[in-house]
Amino acid sequence: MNIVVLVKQIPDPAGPQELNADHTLKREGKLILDESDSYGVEIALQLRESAGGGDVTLVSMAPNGETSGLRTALAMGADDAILVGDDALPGAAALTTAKVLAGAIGRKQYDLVIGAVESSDGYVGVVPAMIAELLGLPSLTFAKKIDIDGSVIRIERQTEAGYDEVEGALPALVSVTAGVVEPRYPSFKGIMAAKKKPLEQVTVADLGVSVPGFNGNEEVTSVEDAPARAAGEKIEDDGTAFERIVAFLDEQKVL
Amino acid sequence: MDFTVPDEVSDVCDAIAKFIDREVRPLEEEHHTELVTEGITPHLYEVAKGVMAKSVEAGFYGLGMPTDIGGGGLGELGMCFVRETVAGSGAFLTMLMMGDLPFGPNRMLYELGSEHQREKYLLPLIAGEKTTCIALTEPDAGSDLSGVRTRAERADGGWILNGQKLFITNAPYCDFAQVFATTEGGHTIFLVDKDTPGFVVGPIQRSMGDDHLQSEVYFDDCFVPDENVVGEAGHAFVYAARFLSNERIAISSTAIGMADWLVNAMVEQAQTRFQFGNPIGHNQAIQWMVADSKMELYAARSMCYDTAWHADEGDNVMDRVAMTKLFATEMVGRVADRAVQVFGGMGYMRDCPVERFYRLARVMRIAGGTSEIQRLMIARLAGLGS
Ligand SMILES: Cc1cc2nc3c(=O)[nH]c(=O)nc-3n(C[C@H](O)[C@H](O)[C@H](O)COP(=O)(O)OP(=O)(O)OC[C@H]3O[C@@H](n4cnc5c(N)ncnc54)[C@H](O)[C@@H]3O)c2cc1C
Repeated sequence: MNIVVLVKQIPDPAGPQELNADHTLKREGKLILDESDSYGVEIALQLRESAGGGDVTLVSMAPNGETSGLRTALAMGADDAILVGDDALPGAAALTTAKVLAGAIGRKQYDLVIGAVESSDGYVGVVPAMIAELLGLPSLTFAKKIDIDGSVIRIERQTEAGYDEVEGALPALVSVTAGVVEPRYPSFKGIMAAKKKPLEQVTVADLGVSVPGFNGNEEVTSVEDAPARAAGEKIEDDGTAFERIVAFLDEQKVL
Repeated sequence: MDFTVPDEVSDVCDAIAKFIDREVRPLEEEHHTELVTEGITPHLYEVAKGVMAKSVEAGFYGLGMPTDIGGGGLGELGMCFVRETVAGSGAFLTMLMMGDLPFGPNRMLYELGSEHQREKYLLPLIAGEKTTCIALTEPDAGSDLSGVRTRAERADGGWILNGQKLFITNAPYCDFAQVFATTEGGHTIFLVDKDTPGFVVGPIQRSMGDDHLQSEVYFDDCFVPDENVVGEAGHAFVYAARFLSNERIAISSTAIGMADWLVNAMVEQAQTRFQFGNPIGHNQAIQWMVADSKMELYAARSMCYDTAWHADEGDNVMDRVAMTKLFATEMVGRVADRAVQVFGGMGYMRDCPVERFYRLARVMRIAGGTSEIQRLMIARLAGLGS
């Protein structure tokens, strides 16, 4: 069972964030493994374990040859990694990203591609489906559970009401929702072992992907602060408060 | 001299910080009232043991032990960064998490332990299946260990121990004790299983730290077989000096981690607490408390890294260790005292972690060799005194 996991390396969400002049996020310094992707890595490791073998390959696109986040995922137990770095890439739009990642995935023999539903810094949420389209793979989205049975993949697809059971044929692409498994910690032994694992660094030219005008199809025109939360309404309980709360909830259409 | 944090050490520190956020902080919240009002009770010790089991599973336990027995093989300098991370988290239920002295595996058992001792004691320690304690101090032997009265007399196939120890950390919970006793011609270290007849653990000695960790232990005609003598009989203090004295580097880096947490807390409080229309940090009186704390923290940290680096190089670090332990533990005392001052009334309240740090910092100048004994050692190594 060979699995490719898409992992994004992002500025630590706990730290202060800054934007570039073109409204894209500054990605200088250390980048960490996007927590959203740690679930995909964990699921891939579990699938590899239950299949009794195979490789888990990480594919990432990041500036400055940054590998900190990849090292974390390698330390968790992934086997190897491909990092696409290119001076032309910073600020790449979703379709460009998808083309580049699809090109990198194409360097591997794989049964399954796993990605997160969306990254924690961009929240665009379209890259996995675009990659599936580019690679001609069935796209199974919002998975909270994955089962592999021979060449059949079954997932529980999270919905607002519960989940749907969705089936597809391998090779396929699955996007997994955050929080569905407990990602293992990179142990010190894993961290030491990760130093020796293959990490291939490639450029867009190496991938032979054509991405005309990296940002030709997307532009961020402005960025605004989220509006401050307005003060809520206080209801003093005079014995009838429940009626007013019910009326309020009804008005909001949550009942 | 190079104190650059290697990638693997910063990666493991990041992983440990995340582990604490995910595994320990929710427990501290869940048990907040018990922790604040009663301290680390025997019940919370069990909770901390659960953290320890998860740490073993995640591969963080015994990071400083050699790799051939399942340790991480990190040197003293690497362990400084790790301990700073743990102590700097401000989480208290981490106390068993790294397997530090006295609870977990140690270099003495690794270097001197027989095959039998490795199988029965050391490997279960590093696997987190057993914990231990170090029983040295007695009513008449504190700073002056020549006063140890616990005696071991030769018997058929072993030794008979009689005596009393006190303030022994982890005695109430351990699976076996490492006991220092007087034998003919010197002192000897024995491994004594908790369930050995004649080995009695007294009631918990409540302390300022509220951690329910210490108790007295008694030996009443307690038979210990020959195979449980560590190394050679008669060499106990040589072994302790050689293998256990680096505990003082561990105490120092813990003090540094605590001080780091306290300085950050002080800065935040100084920025967010308003009096007379301004943040209290607008007052030079508050600024200087922060400035002095940062300076002393920096000094202690520099000393500690230097000492650890020299220890890793195999240099004799006896004087450096004494100076670092003395300075770092006195530093955290001063920093904690200022932090209480910056927090005002809140700093005195149990609900504020600063109050707890203040109490915990106090013991660091006593346990592991008092400040006075460190000074005495520094002076002796400088050629003064007898
Ligand atoms: C929380 C806690 C945990 C402990 N855990 C353990 C443990 O796990 N195992 C263990 O064996 N012990 C443990 N101890 C004991 C600890 O090691 C001793 O308390 C410490 O070594 C000091 O000994 P003492 O208490 O007998 O003080 P004393 O030696 O009686 O000292 C009293 C005072 O006299 C000073 N003094 C003594 N001699 C001199 C001198 N020559 N010059 C100048 N001043 C001097 C001391 O510095 C101190 O200020 C623990 C103690 C505490 C408080």
